[in-house]
Amino acid sequence: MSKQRKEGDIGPPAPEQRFERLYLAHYPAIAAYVTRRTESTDDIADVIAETFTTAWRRLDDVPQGDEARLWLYAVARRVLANHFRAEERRSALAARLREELATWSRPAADRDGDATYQAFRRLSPDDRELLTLVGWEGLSSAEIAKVLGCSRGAARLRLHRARKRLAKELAAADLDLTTYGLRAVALAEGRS
Amino acid sequence: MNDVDRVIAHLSPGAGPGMTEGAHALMRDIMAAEPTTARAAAPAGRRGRRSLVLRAAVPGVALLAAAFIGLSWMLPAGLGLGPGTAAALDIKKEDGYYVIEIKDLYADSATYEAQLRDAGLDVTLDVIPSTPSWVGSIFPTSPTENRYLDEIKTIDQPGGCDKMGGCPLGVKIPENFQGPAEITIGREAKPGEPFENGTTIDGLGEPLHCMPYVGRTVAEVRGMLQERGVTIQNFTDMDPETGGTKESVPDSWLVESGSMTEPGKATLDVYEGSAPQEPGGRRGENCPTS
Repeated sequence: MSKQRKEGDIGPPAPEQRFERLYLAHYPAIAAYVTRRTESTDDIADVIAETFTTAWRRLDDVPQGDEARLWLYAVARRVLANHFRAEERRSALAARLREELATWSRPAADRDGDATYQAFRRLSPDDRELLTLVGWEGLSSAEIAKVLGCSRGAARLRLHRARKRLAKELAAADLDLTTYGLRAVALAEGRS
Repeated sequence: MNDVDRVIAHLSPGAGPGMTEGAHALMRDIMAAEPTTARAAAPAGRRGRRSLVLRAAVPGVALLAAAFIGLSWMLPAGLGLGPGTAAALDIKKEDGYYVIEIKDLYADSATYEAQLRDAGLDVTLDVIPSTPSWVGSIFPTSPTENRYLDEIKTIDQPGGCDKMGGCPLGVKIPENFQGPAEITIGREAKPGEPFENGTTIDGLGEPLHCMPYVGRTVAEVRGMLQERGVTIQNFTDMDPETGGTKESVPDSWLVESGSMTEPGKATLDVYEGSAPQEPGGRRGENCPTS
């Protein structure tokens, strides 16, 4: 091993290979999670960088298989929470990513005039978090339990209540619920 | 997914641009540091440390190496040369490929784009100031498919290469390439111009290449940098609660990572440590083996 080796003449062994697989498999999902919850593109780049740096530093703690994705969501969630408490924390990493995101034009979401969005905004942050993990990330209640670190039962219950509260908000806003199906009405009326 | 969930899904903001070049660059940068768990588990001796760091250096290079296969983007030999010729690019067809020489590395993207469009190519070119490791690197990606474009090939100089981003001579674009493509090329930065692409300061081609600096004190690393004509621009305090960018930190603090910010200037990631650790860092890329 003392002989100098030329770059590229050995395959990437364990930690690097694992991290690379982890990164390539889950970056899109984690980046999307962060992007949907962050306004500033600088913040997006920082949170993504910190999340994956944590994964690299704690690679032995990252679970195998698809559990890894949930672990990463949980880390990203904590990083997001911490990030907005700290001032001006620009990662030295992700310079290129930051530059890319700065020029990336977020699709115009004309949500302010959207009554359903207003109804959603009236929910508590906890309810919004649960609902978006389902609606945006497509997670099941069992998966949400892992991300939030609560029991499956608790996740299911909280999710059920959050859905019900949103349905009520939608009904209160006199929205045309047929747009979304009668089940929403039924849920609001406690018939589900 | 029930109906309420569909309402939420409908409200979803955009997911972002996906697996971009910047995302790949971030992966390489993260892996340039040793994972703490691996470091803790590594034998204290030189051999264990060395092999670990050698491995850390490989994936990023391997990723880029995939690019350096063919040719036709003829870069001038001196990438630091300023403007001087009329057209920004020299484009010609050869053997079923477009062969393009960049005449002016400091032209703006619109100038390149106009010329490429006139030639019938749906390709944008972004020449960005880069640290020495990445000067001359070429990275073609698809803005619509969010992937690395294997179809666009580069050619490496024969013989050795002392840069992490490779030493390509040019790029080959098949005539039947449909596009679109976005090609990023690293060039030298002008004095005072911030780098837009780089790696850690011990990467191949960077000032502290082969120097174990991770875990050393700020005072020690400042000395190492000064010997190479580099001053410290600022620090990033890594503390999650009180951290952030700082102009100065105590000399006794420890260095976890660092990168060049502009020619002659570096930034260091630091933390308040109790005692200096066994110095670590990236090694193995053409480093002396003794």
